[in-house]
Amino acid sequence: MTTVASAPGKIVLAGEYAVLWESPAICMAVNRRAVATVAPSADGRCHVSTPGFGGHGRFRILDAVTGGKRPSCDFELDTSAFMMNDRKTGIGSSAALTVALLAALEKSEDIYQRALDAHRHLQQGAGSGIDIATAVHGGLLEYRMTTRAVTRLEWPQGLAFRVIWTGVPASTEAKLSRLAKKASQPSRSALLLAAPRICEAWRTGEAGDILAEYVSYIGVLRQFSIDHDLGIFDAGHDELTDAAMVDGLVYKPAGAGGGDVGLLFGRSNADLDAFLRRRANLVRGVLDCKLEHDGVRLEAR
Amino acid sequence: MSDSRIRGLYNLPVAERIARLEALGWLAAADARALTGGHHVLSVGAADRMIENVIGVFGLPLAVAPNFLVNGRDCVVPLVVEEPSIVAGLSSAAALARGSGGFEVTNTESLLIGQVHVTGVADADHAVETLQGRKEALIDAANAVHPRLAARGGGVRDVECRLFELPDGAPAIAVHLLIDTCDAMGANLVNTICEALAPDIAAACDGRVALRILSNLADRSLYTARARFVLPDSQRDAIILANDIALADPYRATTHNKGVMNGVDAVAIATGNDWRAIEAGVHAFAARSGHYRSLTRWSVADDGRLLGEITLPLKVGTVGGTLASNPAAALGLALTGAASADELASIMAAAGLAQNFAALRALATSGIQAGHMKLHARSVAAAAGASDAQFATVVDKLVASGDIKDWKAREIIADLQGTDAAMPQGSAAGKIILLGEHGVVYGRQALALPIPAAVGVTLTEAPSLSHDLPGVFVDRLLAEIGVAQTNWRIDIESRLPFGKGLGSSAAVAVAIARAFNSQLDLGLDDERINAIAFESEKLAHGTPSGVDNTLATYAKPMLFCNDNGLSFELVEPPEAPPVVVAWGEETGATKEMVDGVRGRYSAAPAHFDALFDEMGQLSTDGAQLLREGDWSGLGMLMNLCHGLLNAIGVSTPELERMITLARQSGAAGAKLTGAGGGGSIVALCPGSVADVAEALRRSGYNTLVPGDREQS
Repeated sequence: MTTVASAPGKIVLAGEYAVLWESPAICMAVNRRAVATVAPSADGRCHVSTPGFGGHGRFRILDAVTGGKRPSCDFELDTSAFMMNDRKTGIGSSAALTVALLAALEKSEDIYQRALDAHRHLQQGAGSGIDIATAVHGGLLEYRMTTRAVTRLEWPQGLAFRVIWTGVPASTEAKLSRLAKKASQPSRSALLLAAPRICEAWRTGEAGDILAEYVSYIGVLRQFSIDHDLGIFDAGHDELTDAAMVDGLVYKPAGAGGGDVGLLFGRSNADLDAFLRRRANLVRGVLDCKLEHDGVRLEAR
Repeated sequence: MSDSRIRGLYNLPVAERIARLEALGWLAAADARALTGGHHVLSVGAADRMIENVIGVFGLPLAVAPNFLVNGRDCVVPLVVEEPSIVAGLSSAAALARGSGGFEVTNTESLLIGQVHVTGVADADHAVETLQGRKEALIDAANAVHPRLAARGGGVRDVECRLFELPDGAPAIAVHLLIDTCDAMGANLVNTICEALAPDIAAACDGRVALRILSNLADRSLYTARARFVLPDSQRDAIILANDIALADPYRATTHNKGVMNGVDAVAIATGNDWRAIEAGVHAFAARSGHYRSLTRWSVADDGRLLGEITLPLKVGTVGGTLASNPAAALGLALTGAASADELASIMAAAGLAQNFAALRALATSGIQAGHMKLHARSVAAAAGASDAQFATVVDKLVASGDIKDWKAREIIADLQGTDAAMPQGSAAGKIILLGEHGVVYGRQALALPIPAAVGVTLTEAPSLSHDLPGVFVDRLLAEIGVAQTNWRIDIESRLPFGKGLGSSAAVAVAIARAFNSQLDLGLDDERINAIAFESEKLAHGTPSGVDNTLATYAKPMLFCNDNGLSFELVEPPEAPPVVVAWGEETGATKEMVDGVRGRYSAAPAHFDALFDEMGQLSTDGAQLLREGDWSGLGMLMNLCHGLLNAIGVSTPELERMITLARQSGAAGAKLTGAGGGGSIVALCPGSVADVAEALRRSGYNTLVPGDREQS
């Protein structure tokens, strides 16, 4: 019998890095889903196919989920929705695939804890787990690493966004290991004061407050990046951030930054599109993404 | 419920205004949805059940005036009105009144009068005596008519008689039933009681019942609202004069009271109350002396502030009536948050007084036409070649001359050039906090620069004290300086904007003290002048740090520390630092920002202390770089400091925009300066002062280059 499950990718909107030190973070699921198909093997051996993608890292995910004991099944692990121009976009494909695969194997959507464990194993203990939480639950979420608790939020009325692709792949792991080596107390304190405020603005859901809090939050994040040599605003994020600030909008790198994607926020789609036209020289690509309400899903077959 | 002070509501689109009010807790979610979907409006079907021959419903704008503080309670006031400026006037009057404690409203009783008129009385005096004897029985009988009213704590409280003659000389008796209708307006129930008691009353008087109905002259339900306002003495006195005119002249009183009712009626309609009843009662009350007069009284309070007072007869309801049938009225009432008819009447009285203040202030400060005249004068002054420094004076003199002509402008400019030669008698510096604001409140170091010769004061002898500053401020200052004579005109020339965190009020205080010191040869030294300005700063800011007045007095770069008492150390740079200051529309909110940080500090003291330690260190390091003239190093520290200020949440999108523009145009460093929440930025621009200033100006911001004498 064939089982199919899917789970969404994610974009961290606020609380990146700070989430590692007990601050809340805000994350949204996006409508780009990883799909795992598990069917009985015809020849009693394990077969894995990964359409649209070279398969790098997918076996590690399979091993993390199955504890290294590959069952005699045919696996199709599809994360092609996470690619743009054949390059990774950095919106949580591995967590989404972990969750989808686990759901397909267990024929259950109730896999949050086991998915967290598998992903932690995969990342050798690093990472906050926010990507797993989002892949499992979907929607717009507030997440706390200490308890792994999620709170579902409503998308704020009158807040529009675009996902901008830098064209440069980034590595979260590399940044986290650099962070572990060095900690600048003032800028860490600064982040731990600013992050809860932007999360609070998201919780309240007032678009104006969210935009206003972001301008401060971005200033803090920049300083944090400089002090820890993280390059969060590299790969063109810096220029976009300044341009948006001058034009009365908000732009910020998503998640760990330094490549992958960034988010442009404003009051209306028209404002955002006008910015993208005006600043076309700074924009490598726009990733067509919407908020995804569904988390992990066993698909009918 | 949150604070009713809501900034920038007028800037939002309607849907966001609704969302904002909901987010702040002033609108229930269901009401916000109803407003967004337009479901709060009376349906045609419901309208058809209210009156006869309905063919539709009729729309009027529904708005809110924020900022009201009535008897210590924050409230947002709903208004239904079609006339422009009323909502804006109420909002700004309420914001100003807040600064002096808001509106205080009192009342002693709230009774509605039911009248039974009896005619054909043979012996009126005897009839009145008989009625007095049966009073208790009448009250009991009346309360039996409406047992539920009595159960709610209402009912007939007293019976009074008034005697008068009809045109034919026949006596008539008006029997007044004084009825507590609780939170209902109560017209119907009062009419029912009048009808029920009329036969007994006629029998007691041995006469005939002529009429039995309520009176809308609700003078047994009087509400008195008071509020204080801090204004320049000239405006304060002009408002008092305008009110005195309305007390004497009924033609003016009518327009004056119409202004009051612009506020009261708009609330009455929005909350489903009978505004015709209120109007009729109020105007009758205004004529109670036999002479139609102003409903308000304006005077100078003991502390020099403007004190306003209004007394209005207001019998309003918060239950029954159209509230039950008109969803918009119920929504309006909910917005007020009034828990009783008393509270609603108090809000109406406050709105009446606030609207009167707004109207008189507009008349007193500019007049309806004067605003246009001033615009005209500005263009004439510019065409005549008035310099930036002279501009405001030329415009004022043109308007005052009543002759807004090119030749007059040239004449004024020529005169001024003659007087320009005379130096102001007192001058003082503005201040720029370069590093360490907020940290300095917690005992850490801050580095500040002066804006040299930012304010100049000239004194001329005059018949009486005249100036354009709040009288309380000047009175306190003169007392501190020790000036008893008041025969002075104080002219101030300032290149500092007010309320933008550049130390304007301290500079004005120092410059005035110095002007008197030199004019009257008082022998005050700088230390004494600094102390005088510190005392006057207490009036302006409550608990000032002392940085502003010290900078204003000594006009030198300084490293401050306020750890159990302010200490400072002069810092001598090799050359004046290449600084550009800029500001936009937003006014800084020092007290709110400092209070806000204090509130958040207690939640995470360790993190705040880490930041403040860093700010202190930045200031100390910055002082050394300033001594060495290392502008790029100092600029980097300013950027660092701004990142820390971001973390404590005192920046705004406008400040960030200015900072980004400055950095993009070549500033080595840029940050907010002062308490934030609006106000100014400072940019350090080695080799790029002109570029940075130009970029900021092109984007619509005001700039000041402390090294230049001319401000742009």
